[in-house]
Parts: sequence; C-alpha cells; structure tokens
Amino acid sequence: MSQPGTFDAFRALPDPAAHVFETSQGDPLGALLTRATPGDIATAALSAEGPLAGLPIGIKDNLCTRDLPTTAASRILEGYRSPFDATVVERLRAAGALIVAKTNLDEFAMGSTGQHSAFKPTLHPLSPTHSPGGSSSGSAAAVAAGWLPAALGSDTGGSLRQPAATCGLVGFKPTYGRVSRHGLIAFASSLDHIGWLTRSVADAALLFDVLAGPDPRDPSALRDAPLRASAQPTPRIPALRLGLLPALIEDTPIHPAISRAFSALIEGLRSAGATLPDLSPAHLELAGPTYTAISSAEAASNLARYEGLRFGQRASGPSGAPSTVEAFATHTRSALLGAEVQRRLLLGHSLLSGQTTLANAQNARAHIRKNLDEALTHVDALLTPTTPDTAPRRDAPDDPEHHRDRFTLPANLAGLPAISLPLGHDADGLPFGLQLIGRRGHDAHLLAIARALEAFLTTA
Amino acid sequence: MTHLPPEKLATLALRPTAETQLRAHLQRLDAALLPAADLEPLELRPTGAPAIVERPDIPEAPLSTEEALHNAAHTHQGFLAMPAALPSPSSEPTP
Repeated sequence: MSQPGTFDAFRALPDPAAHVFETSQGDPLGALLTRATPGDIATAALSAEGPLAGLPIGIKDNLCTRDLPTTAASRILEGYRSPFDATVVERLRAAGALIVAKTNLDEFAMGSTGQHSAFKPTLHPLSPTHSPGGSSSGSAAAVAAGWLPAALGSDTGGSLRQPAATCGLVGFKPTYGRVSRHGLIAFASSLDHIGWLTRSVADAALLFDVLAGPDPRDPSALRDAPLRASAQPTPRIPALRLGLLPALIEDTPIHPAISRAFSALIEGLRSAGATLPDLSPAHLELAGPTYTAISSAEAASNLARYEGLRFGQRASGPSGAPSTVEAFATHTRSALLGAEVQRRLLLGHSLLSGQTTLANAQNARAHIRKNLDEALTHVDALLTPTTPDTAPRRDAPDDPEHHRDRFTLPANLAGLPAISLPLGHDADGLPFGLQLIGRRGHDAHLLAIARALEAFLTTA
Repeated sequence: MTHLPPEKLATLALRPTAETQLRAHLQRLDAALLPAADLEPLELRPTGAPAIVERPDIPEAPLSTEEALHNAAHTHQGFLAMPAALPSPSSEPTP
C-alpha cells in the first residue's frame, strides 16, 4: 500500500497521528530519537486549531522542545530537557500541528550522511545500504518513508536540501534571518538556517506562512513582515528567467543520470519559452574552503560552552579526580563529543588562533555574497542540480572538503533562500534533485517559481 | 599558515588525536584560500544594514528547581554541589 505524503493526504487519514505511531513502530530507519506518547498527542489533538490542525510534524533534535528531550544527537546533551520551545516549535503548536517526534541527525548537525549521530545511524528508506543524506537525516528518512508529512530541520551548508534531493523530497531553506532561530542549538551562527522537508511546494509554502516573521527573541531575525507564500500567483514558464552556472557545474564530476536529467530539464524549459542565460558570478570555486573555515571557527566558539561544568553532561571520571578545570573539561569533551565534532572543533580552534586563513575566508565570503546578489539582479532565480551525486553508501568515506555540498554551500554563505525539488532517479531508483536559489528576501517568490517548476516536471 | 603550538592545543579541552591530519587539512585550506588575499577587501555586512543587538543572555523566567535539577550534569547533586566535583586547592597533590 502506498504511504500518504502531502498535507492533504494526511488530512484525509482517519487519525494522522496514529498513522505515525503505527508506521514508525520500532524505528527501522533509525530516523527518530524520541517519540511523544500517543496519549499526549491525542490530548493535544483535541484542542488543535489552525492551518496545520492535527498534522503530525517531526522536529530535528537540535531544536528545543519543552516536552521532549533535545540532544543534538550528542552524548554531551543526552537527557537534556529544554525549559522552553524554540520559536518555530511554538508557532507550529499555535497553528495546530502535533509535535510527534524528535528526529535523528549528525551530531550537532556536523555531517552530511546521518552516520555521525552518537545514538544510531539513519538508513535510506529506499536502500538500507545507503545514507539518506544529512545532517537532517532523520527528518528526511521519516518524511520519505511516509511516516510524517513534514519535518523541520536546520541547514548550515545544505543539510536540508541535500537529504531532500537524495530522498526525493522538497527541502526549503529561507533567507537568513527570515525564520527565527531562537531555540536552535547553534553550530555556525552566521550560516545556520531553520527550514523544512515536505512532499510538495504548496506544503512548504504553508509552513513558510506559519513560521516566517520577526521574533524579538532572535536578534538576527529580520524585522519586516514577509509576504505570504501561499498567496503568490504561480508564474507561467515563459515568464521565467533562470540563471545557469556552467562554470560551477562543468568543474564538478556529476553522476551521469543527474547530468542527463538536468540537461533535459534545461532543454524542456527553453522549449517551453523560459529564458535560461549562462551566468558566471566570480569566486564560487572558493565556496568550499570558505565554508570549511568559517563553519569550523564558529563551531569551535559555539561549542566551547559544553565542558560538563556549566553546560552539558559530565563524563564519569578517570581514576582519580582531575587536578584542574582544564583536565576535567578535556576528559568530558574527549569522552562525550564524537570524532567528527572533535575534528571540526580542533580545526576551528586552530583557525581562530591564526590570522590570515580565516580573514581570507571572510573576504571570499563577502565577494561570493556580492557576486550572487549581482547575478540575481539579471534573473528570477539560479538553477543548479542540488547535489553532484545520488545518496552515498553508508560506508562511503567522509567528505571533509564538502565536495558533496558544493552546489548548496553558496546559498548559505550568501544567506539567500534556496529550495531543492525532486528531479529524477538513477538506474537503482535512488532520487536526485534540482536546486533553485532566489533573491534575498524574496522567499515567497522563490516558492512560487518552485511551484511552477514542480508542475512543469509533473506534466513534462 | 595557521599553526597552533602543542602547548596551545592543550588548553582547548580536546585531546589532539590526529594532529598530522589536522595540520594537513589546515595547509590545504590555507592554500585554497590564498587567492582571496588578492581580492579587494569587502565587508560582509552591507552599508547601512542595522546592527544586530545582542539580547541579554538570561532566561526570561528563572528555571524552577525541578527544571534545573533535571538538567544538572549530576541530577542527584544539582548545581550547588558541582564545585565539589573538583578538588579543593588543599587536596592538590604537591610535586
């Protein structure tokens, strides 16, 4: 039997929340870290009112929830219970959504495979030997499996769009500041965004209308009210101007199936009357090292607080009491932070202790932002594949230089809204996606363009 | 090239387990970002953008004792007992 997918399909179920508990029984995908109790959800459902009334939603476990533990998939936060809801969780509840589960992730959102959770790896719903992508691995697996109609996640370098592409979903990341991050456990503050995974662009737009907007509790939140995405008219294909980035794409080894499907998409759009000029914003080749340097440095700063004394769990000691606070913290952090997190923190601390590398990265970032903003004055959005490859095998080597994220990183560095849509499947049935990057602050327009492309792909 | 001396690494509260790998990665990053040194210096923040004002980092309402105890590293001790986990100066071994 096929699983429901969209909000409408879940609304048509006799009991959408019960569906989650039945289908996710035993969590065969390693997608969920905690589930609410059916009794609590049944009680919440009685008073649920609003545009999301009765819809079960998953929350990536780096977003604070007052009724379920929040761990960021790290031993150092095991059992932590936040005394408040993240703003996005608060807004979901106010719109009638039921917070049914906390979803798995790479520890502190550092990773792109879902294999770096301290608790369990996440499996791809279509192939247990493959990763669903990450770091929002549990959110992607649970939505792709049809357990949930939507799940929130975070996107620091592609952590929503990349698993969306490899699981055949819609993954949206708004303009930096458009959605409050109050209650998000920080990884790299200038790059972190909260977004979501859904089955359709219309569902993503509805979530945008519920979640976007100013928040006095987040000093980086934009202060103006956004346009409603659901109210935007869908543009006609001949009216679209979508910029291509041939230098970025030709410089990358791309899976042949993705390459063929992307070329066919371009040809189809041109035949339908869309304008697709080649653009060449300079310095995009610096996005990878720039992201690595800035994200590691910011992570080192953000995670310095977890030393087991003021924040975080404390490791049971080695024999004999530690002689200094440093020795105490060293023991706790070495024991309770995973290897990938420690690798990035060491890199970040080293960069913070130097002068030139981080300064060069910051200058490169400013140029990337300026050049992308300038490119977007000529077109409505930029069009790329979301990833150069389909889902990685679970035993694939790590990707410390972020090659897998090379198409998604620029939007984070520039703070631009971006969305991944399903584009096709390879010969093994593994999905891949296309990415649209929109103008700063034009989230509603980007979602409208995405709706047009979604319809075009469905009918093509 | 960024280089962190071993005595500095010891203050990071992390055991440097893969220093060779770390150094190699730093060298690659350093080389990859060298072209950015020749670019015109640019500020990330656009001219005229409003400054971000930090909210005081205090909870809006004090935690209840129950909440504080739940999140204490050692629930049975609570925050007030935490300093006892460290030896007092008088119990430090003398060299």
